[in-house]
Amino acid sequence: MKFIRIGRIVFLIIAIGGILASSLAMAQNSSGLKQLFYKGNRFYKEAKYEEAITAYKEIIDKGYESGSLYYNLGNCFFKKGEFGRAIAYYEKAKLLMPQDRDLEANYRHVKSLVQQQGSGFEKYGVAGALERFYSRFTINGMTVFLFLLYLTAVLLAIVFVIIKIPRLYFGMGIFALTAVFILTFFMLRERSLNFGRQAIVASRQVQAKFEPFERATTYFTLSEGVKVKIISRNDGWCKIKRNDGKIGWVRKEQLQSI
Amino acid sequence: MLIKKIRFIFLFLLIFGFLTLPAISQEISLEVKVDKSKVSMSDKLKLSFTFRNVKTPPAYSLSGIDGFSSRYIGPSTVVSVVNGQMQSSVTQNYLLTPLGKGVFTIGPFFVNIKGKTYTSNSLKVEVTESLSQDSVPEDIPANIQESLQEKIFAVMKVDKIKTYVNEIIPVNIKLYLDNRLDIQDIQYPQIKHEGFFLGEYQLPKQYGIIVRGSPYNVVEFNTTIAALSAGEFNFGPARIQCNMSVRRKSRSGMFGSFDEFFQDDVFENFFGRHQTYPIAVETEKKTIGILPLPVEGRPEGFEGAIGNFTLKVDVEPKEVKVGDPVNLKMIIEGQGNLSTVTMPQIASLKEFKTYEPQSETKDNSKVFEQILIPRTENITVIPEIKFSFFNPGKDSYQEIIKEPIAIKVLPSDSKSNPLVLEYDSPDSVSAREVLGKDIAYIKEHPGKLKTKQTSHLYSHKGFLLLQLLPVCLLLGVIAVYKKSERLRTDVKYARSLRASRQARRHLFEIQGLLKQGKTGDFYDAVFKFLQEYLGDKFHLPKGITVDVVDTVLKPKGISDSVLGKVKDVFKECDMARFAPTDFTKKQMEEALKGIGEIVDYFERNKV
Repeated sequence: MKFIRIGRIVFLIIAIGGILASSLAMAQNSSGLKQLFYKGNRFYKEAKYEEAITAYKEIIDKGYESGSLYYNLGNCFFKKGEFGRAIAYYEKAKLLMPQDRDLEANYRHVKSLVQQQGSGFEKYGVAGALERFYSRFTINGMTVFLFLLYLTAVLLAIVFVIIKIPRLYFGMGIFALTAVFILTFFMLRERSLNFGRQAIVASRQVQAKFEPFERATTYFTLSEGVKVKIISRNDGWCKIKRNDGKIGWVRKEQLQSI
Repeated sequence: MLIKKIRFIFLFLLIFGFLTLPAISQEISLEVKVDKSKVSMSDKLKLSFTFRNVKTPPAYSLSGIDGFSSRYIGPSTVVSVVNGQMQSSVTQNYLLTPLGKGVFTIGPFFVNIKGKTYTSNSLKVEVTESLSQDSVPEDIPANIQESLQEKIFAVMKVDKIKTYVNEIIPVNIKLYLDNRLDIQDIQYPQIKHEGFFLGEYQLPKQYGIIVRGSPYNVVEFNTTIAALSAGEFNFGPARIQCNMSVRRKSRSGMFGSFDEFFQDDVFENFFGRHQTYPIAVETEKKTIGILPLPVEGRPEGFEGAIGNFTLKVDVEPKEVKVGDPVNLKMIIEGQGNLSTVTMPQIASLKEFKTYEPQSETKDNSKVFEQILIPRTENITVIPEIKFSFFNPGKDSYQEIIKEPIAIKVLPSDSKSNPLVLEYDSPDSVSAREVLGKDIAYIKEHPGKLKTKQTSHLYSHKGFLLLQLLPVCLLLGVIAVYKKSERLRTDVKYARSLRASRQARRHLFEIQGLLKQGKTGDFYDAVFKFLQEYLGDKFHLPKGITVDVVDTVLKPKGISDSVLGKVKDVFKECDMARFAPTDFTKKQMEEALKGIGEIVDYFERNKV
């Protein structure tokens, strides 16, 4: 009996030690990442944008990311005059911190500077308003929102069973919740389908070709800052789809994926 | 019969008289006419030989006209009755083709009619290599004359080719149309006017003139332009679209070349069909140099007005009370670009409350009306009014200054001064702030650095499992609610449930009594237990006896062995009540076992 107890204590100590050690290692790792971030900031202050970008990208290469990191990268590219890439990084940042006001302001500013070829393809009306509303959420935020809607519906049902609220109110409540749920569900579906498959045109004028090689005929041109959807990749080329549905091939380095 | 004859004779005489009378009374005359006095070598000339009052004129052979070869086209006859006198004329038409350059005299011709020789007039025709300039209005460019379109062409005239920005320049476009052409649906000219503001067209004028001896219709369009910025700009060409109606030759079927058409005699295809062709006529373009307004000598307060203007100021009424409106009317009149005219400057209106001025543009004037409301009775004048403009005619700026106008302001009637409500005067509004535009600064802190997102919450297994929780919760709540609801409403169910729940407790108590060896109490408890248990289980009134076995339990199809046991236990209890000492512990244990089996049976089998 005693033996078992001692064994338990030993096990507990080892476990706690292990957790402490791993979290210490993580903390060390994260402090290293933070140092890289601050290094990038210093370069930015000295207007060494290229070096700043290198420092920030090192964090990404290590497999880490944050909204502020992408935001700073966007700023660096903006300062370098690469508006397309700046937009792309701001878009990435928006996925992680959609409610940041500086980010929104910078994003709008850069957008206003690039020639708005794509503006004609932007969604207006109800669809546009919905898209703008849901762009305030991250994908996980939307997921949680969906879950909360579901939970509310269940609670409403429980209340209906126990307190006996009028059937009409219950029906209306369930209808409204279901409507919002379906809408959010499809928006989330759209967002998750697009996740990692969108890109921003990063060069001034990009020619989209019919085939993935240089000598192919140009189909249409894309101006910097336009958002496209990547359908597939092939040997340094990306098959992209513009918002108006036109599909063409563009060289990989002319795009910055979101 | 006689009357008929007389009528016939009368009619005959009348007709005969009509026909012969003029022949007797009218003089015979000859006249030679050409349609042009000047032709080029490539052109043809129509010569008409008119015989008046000759019934059958000879087909006069015109061979041997100096410098021309001739071809007879055909006759035409005109009969007219003037003041009861009939005149007839027959015209023989000839087409003359020039053989060489020079001035040639045609005629006089001598014709012998009924033995009498008549002499015609003579005329001079000039034949040129190409059409000479002097017979043509000077504004028609030379290259147009040679071209095929000399029958229809347009000329644009711009008054000035050096002008100032915003100066109004009149533009005149003339469309020349050969009289013989059938032109319809003439549209207003469309002018390429990059860099210019194009005014509205006035109503077009239409009149006829003679160009190179041929009659032309002229349609004249007038408009104005104003340059928008300094530099050198091309103005025009102006393009006029219209439709031309052409008689198609029935014999040729196809309409020939343009050239051919024009060379045909108009009367030749009188019965041809009509066909409409759209044509467009273009003028030449003009290059106009536009000068910026000079900086030198620009008066203070100059707002861009250009032209030659006068200023008239009117104040109504000149005697007011504090708080009553004064109407200040400023009329700017003259030639120039009225759209550049802004309201004259009034020196200082601090003592007045002002409203937004109203302006109205008329043909040659612009009227500004400013309502002024005096704030105090100390006001004696409406301040000086200044208006400056650039006069392009004199290439200089001009300034008109109107002296202050005296007005009399009386104190207000109302005791509750001041009547004039104070608003922010325009002076107190700060100049509109110009904001810079750039991106916000970078983030100082990295925020939460997380491993890169490759999957999202919705694909997490734990999260997906979590989705079952609310459903389970709901089902649980419903189940509990339903059960409690049944317990509340269904007494039979509630009792049956209570029977099962309390059976085990009671059996335990009974076991206690057995251990203590209290035989009487034991059998009492057993009896009570059976009564309660069976009563609850089968929803029977209290105080059941052994009869219940046959009346209630048997019809429910309960096995005989169990029924027997129930009967046995009831009987044993009855006996034990009267002689408790007769029962051994073993019997008691048997009894306990018996009720245990009974309960077991009823709990296991649904009855």
